[in-house]
Amino acid sequence: MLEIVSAGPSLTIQDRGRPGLQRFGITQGGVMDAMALAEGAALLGQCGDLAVIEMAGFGGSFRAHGATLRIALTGAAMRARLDGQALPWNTSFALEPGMTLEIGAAENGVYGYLHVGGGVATPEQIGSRSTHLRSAIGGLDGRALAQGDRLPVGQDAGGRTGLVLEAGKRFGQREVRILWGAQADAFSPAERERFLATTFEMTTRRDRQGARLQPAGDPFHAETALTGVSDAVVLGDIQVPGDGMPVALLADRQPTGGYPRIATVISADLAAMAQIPGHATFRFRLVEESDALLALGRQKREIAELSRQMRPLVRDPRDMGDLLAFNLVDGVISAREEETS
Amino acid sequence: MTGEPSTACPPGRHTAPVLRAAGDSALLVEFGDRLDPAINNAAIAFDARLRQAALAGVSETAPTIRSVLVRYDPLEIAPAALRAALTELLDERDWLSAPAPAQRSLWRIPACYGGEHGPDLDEIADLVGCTPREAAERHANAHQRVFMLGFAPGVAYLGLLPEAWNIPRLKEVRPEVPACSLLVAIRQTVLFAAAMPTGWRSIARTPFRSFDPRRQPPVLIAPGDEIGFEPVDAAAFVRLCESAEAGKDIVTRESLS
Repeated sequence: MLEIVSAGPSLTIQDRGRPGLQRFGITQGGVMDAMALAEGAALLGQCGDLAVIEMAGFGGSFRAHGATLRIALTGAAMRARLDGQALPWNTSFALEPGMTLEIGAAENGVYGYLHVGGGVATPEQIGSRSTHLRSAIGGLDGRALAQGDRLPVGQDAGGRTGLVLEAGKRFGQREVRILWGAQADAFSPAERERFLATTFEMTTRRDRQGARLQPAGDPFHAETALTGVSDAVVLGDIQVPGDGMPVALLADRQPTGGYPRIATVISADLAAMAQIPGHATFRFRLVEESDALLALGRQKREIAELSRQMRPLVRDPRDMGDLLAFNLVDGVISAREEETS
Repeated sequence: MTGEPSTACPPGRHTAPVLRAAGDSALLVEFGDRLDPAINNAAIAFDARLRQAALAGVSETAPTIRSVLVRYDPLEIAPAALRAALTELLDERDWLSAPAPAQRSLWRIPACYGGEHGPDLDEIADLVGCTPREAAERHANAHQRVFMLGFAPGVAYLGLLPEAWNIPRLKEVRPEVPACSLLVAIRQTVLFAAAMPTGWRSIARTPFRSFDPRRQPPVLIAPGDEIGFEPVDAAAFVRLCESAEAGKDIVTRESLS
């Protein structure tokens, strides 16, 4: 069992979400950074379908109860300490009962992930553990995690800890690749050119549903007014509402919308888009559909190769209070596995 | 294949159907750009055909008011191959002459009009040009079609109401209307499942939960169904809410096929 000793403003339980239910008005949701989900699964040597804690901007503090838990931290790097000792990000380690894991502010992105061996085992709702705050479904009673919550943890198959992965290239990426959107032809060619030439600032008006983008120049306007009859929207759509300030539609987007979508972020750059920190500036780059598919194929291969990219965490022992927590030498199996075998 | 939009067809001069890329993993099959039962029937019928065809690599389809969303894995089926497969299915018939879905239902759903549950009823009646009582009766008896489930889980877009109901949206968005409110504007009704901000006027509230995650399936009504409302008073509304909370059926369903 994992106790939330203190919680940042937006900790939610997420997994891959609820695909296939858009016909009921149910959006897929799930993690904002699917690469981070895969990285955590690789670090713990477990299935990528298990639920994790997604931490938006700031973490919290956590304690294990009962058995030692294997933990991995991925996504946006956050300041982390295990019983006061600094922890590197993108690593796996053992959290023993009595130890406190403290996770602070995100330093190079937005969404950090806490993975636990066996996965967070809150009940599934409509086929997923993902929290959708607006509909109050999934997670723990459909809400964000709060101080004092105790999360059930699934059976951990066990495996080594003390592994590290290099930080993904998506952090620091300030060029987001797009295809023109389903309603791009509502905008004049000149307006579309201007969209590509504009530098945008990621505003702090953003959540799991979408992010408002501040253009360095004028707002954008559709040439032909749409009839406003709603249509399906997809993950990564850049829609332009009446005020001309584009909004990137992210994991918990509405399934339908009536504003024109000028562009759609390519699948391979969705995680990079979600991780752009507030106030950072970036641009969009138009690519061909074939480039988008090549990038997606490359990302899929990167995910498949993650387990081969891991290396043992080598640190200066003088910096470390508790070598055992990292199982540095030979990947001692977890206490939990010993208990259950 | 380029990232250019598939067509430069301006809204209002639509030649159906049109395939539009929506990113690298979805296509929209657009049958029109209006709220029109014929266009909606085409979308519902083509969605049913796609489900039957079960094209490899297609992960999900969903009908909207005027189109069908086709989500796919482009590493499993190339966009050009999917477009060809969709075009072949589109050529099978004139989808705009497709009838309403065979298995459709008429739902009768209780609703409490006016007062605290429908605070804008008087204003709506003024705009429609009748008494509040008449407005409630006309709205309840209109037998509106479900054009789409969208916006949020179980939210139903209903219409079309008579021309007199072509009332504008509010100038200012309301921060929140309670869950299960019936909102009207531009000849449509939206049945909201959860509390939401809105720019539409609230005419009534129903004890029926169009989305209930405890129920299997969580959403009962389907595109193409029709909905009539049964006016109930505030006391009955409270009783029916309790029944719904206890998981009891408070709506009736009649087959229209």
